[in-house]
Amino acid sequence: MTAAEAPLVSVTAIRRHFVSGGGLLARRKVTRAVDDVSFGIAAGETLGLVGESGSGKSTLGRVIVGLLAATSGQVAIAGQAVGGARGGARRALWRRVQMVFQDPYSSLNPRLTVRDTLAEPLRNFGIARGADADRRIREALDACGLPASAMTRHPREFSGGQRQRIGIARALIVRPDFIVADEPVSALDVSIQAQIINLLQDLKAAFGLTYLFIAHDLAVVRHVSDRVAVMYRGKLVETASAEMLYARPAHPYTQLLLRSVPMPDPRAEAERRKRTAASEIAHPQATAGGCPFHARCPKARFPLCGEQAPPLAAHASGHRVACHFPG
Amino acid sequence: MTLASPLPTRPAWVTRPLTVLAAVRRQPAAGVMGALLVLVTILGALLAPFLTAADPLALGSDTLAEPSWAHPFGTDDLGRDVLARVLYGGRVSLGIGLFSAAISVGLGMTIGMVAGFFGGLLDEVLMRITEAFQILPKLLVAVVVVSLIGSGLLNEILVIGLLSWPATARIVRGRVQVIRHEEFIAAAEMSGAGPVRLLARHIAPNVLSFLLVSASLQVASAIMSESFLSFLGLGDPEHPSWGLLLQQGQLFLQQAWWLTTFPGLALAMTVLGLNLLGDGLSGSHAAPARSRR
Amino acid sequence: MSAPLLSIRELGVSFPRKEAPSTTVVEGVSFDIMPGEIVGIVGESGSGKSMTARSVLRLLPKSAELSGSIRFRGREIPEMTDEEIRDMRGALVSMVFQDPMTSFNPVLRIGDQIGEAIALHDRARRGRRALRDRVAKLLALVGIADPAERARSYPHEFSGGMRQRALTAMAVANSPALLIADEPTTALDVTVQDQVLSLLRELNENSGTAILLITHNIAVVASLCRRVIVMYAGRVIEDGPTDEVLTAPRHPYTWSLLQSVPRIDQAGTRLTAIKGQPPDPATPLAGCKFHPRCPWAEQRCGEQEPALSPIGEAHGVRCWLPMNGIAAAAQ
Repeated sequence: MTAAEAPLVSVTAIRRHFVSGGGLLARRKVTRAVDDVSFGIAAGETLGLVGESGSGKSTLGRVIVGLLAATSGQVAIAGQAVGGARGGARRALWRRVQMVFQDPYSSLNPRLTVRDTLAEPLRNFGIARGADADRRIREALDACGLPASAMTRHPREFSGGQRQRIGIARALIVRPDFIVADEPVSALDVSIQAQIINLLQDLKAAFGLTYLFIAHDLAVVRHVSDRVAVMYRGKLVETASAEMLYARPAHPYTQLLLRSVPMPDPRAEAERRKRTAASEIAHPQATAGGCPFHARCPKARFPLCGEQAPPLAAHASGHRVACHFPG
Repeated sequence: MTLASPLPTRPAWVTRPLTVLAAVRRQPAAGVMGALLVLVTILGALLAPFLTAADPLALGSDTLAEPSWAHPFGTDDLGRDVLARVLYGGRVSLGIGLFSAAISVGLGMTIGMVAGFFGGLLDEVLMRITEAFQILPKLLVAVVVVSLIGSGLLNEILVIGLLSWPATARIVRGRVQVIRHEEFIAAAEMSGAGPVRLLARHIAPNVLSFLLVSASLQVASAIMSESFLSFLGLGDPEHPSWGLLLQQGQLFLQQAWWLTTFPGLALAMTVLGLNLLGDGLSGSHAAPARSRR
Repeated sequence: MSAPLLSIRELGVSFPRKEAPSTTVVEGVSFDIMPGEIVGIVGESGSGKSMTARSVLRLLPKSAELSGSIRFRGREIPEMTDEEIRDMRGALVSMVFQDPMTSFNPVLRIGDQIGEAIALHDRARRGRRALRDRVAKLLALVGIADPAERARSYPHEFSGGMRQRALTAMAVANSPALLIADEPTTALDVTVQDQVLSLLRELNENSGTAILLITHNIAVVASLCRRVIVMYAGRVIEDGPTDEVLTAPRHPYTWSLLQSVPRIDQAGTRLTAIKGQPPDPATPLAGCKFHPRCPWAEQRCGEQEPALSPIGEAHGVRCWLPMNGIAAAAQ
């Protein structure tokens, strides 16, 4: 993405906090699920968002599509603000932005047929009804590798992979520009994962889609992404092109993540294990503030890392890294 | 509840044989048995004119007669045919049960869905009201209210219906709170469904299957409540229900066992049948959506 | 070599159905585990890998019908009394499950639960203090810092990785000869997965515990196991040394599976997905169970099921047309 061309999706200083407790006995506790995150996604790009459970990546995805309100900050898609959109504006937004969900079992209403599920957006957005809707549904199913006969059936008659195809068809049927895919393959079997990944890539090429691909599987993210953003405890710690990030990770957390992934080739795996000393670093000096990763970081220097959170700043060859001592 | 649980990776055909087997083990016989019992009582009430020629209200000269071919269930102190009174009484008892259950389930479902879906202050207010109703001594209040506003079928139905919705409301609210967080609700929102459509098209059908169980138990409980009211003499003498028959029969417990035994059996059979049916339904209905879980 | 620790012959697991042939989820599975060996079973949902593992501890659903032989140190497990099975579970063979949350009772302290597992099989009848020391030692062994203090925690106070480690501590409390780990890292983050794999490796090296690892993740097998068994549709379709099977697979399914996994050390080329889906065990399928999805299937593949036959040293494959290992690797 160059500075000259405006990104399709721009995320600016997004924070999302969750408040729990605050009753008579429990103390009010604020969880900063997403904490000051900014990035852009160019039209036609796939941005991979990786992070471990609890990193806030799914929360961020839901804020970006407007399912969750941000505590502060702005998301704009093609210049249109997502936050605060109500009624008609929200509908206009969701004709451009759609989501593919993680769980193929809970993401389809068990009581509706495939036709009912796919007709919902066509009806609610006033796109098509009746025979015209049926024609569009057949097209969407066909694009996702499902036969037209699927229309009259219920979700329980399909396998996980086929359900995920239905979920993708639902997102696709309004012809969006931008799709947020939240762990779209993590609930699927290995051989089915490949089918869905290939399908998502084919659809991107065919319909000129832009993706935000959220996943915890670093190999899958490398495979599908042009650019990758790494999240840790609500903050972005590194962004770079997929190639650069995997070849030369600059943030110690990214380095730890990449080191931790076992490889299917036994020889490569033996090599990896030799390089890796899988030991948790426990810093007695660790504090509550500072860099979110400093308590686990092998490079942490005190008191700096424990007191000051490093900003996401430009680093060599297109990396942006939030670290006092990158590289 | 929100633990990072394993993802459901099994295709349906892996789990289906297992769940079917599990359901079979959970004695479907009970459910079938319950359905049969309920069916028998409903048919008895509906087909009363074909099952007996006697008029339940017609007085006769043959008083307190033992069961015989002419009067299979005997006659009461005024010479009325007990079989006819039990069959026609079923219409009253079942009718009151069904209508007051309809009121309580309808009200409970509406309140529970609204509270569970919107949450926040609305939920707080509705739940406090629900609790207020729930802690009322239901039968005592029913007795007081019916004695104040007078007996009569409509009054009984309204009082029982309006006093028994809280349990349903709480069940529905809990269920809606779970469904609210299923991904298909988020997907429906992104498909442009507003709150009304979300509730009516996406949430209600998934609550209904849950409600069948609760509804069958509500009918049973309403029939029992009505019998209790009638037994205390608050029933409608124009429309004798099983409870009223019991009340009238208890004076002659020593001389005429048939006056209480047959309506008592009918009542027990219906309530047992509805409970068994409820059990069967709760065992066999497939969970609407898999949760992790 | 010594006698096998666990020897499974012609294992079958099926679920009878009303008015229909029963559903067979495991059929003709045979393999041995030597003392101190780490064997991985890899397969997708419905491959029968979990059912195979569970039948060793007789943890199958009640409606399941078991056939074949499972011998642990020469003793036939299906013939054991319930009491003998209880004695064996935990003491000689123990199991680690996928979900570390549901494996603990949420209202009891972690340390007390591990202590109970020890006391249950404790012939020496240790006192309370000795038991507490042993629990602390176990928690330290699985890498939990400040073990005496953490033993007093409740399950919800532990992170997912710590619970999985605590569960492993409980499983190895009585130094079992065999540890069965069913998807032990599937619910864990990748950094935690790496720690749990190291832990299992150390347990094996230090105490000689044999491990049967059940997983869908080929990389986890590559990391931990010397031998791998590939299952598909209830059958063992390939069995051999990890180095051979994962670099020069002989069964088309193993090969396709490896091709369909994106690799972290390679940039994106298009993945070779396996077309279609695994067969439904309720519908009988003639011939090789993989033939409808196999790019090389011939007529006989759809007619007759091949046997698991040796193809090199300690390597077996269930295929009429086994792949030439070298060519496959180069492809």
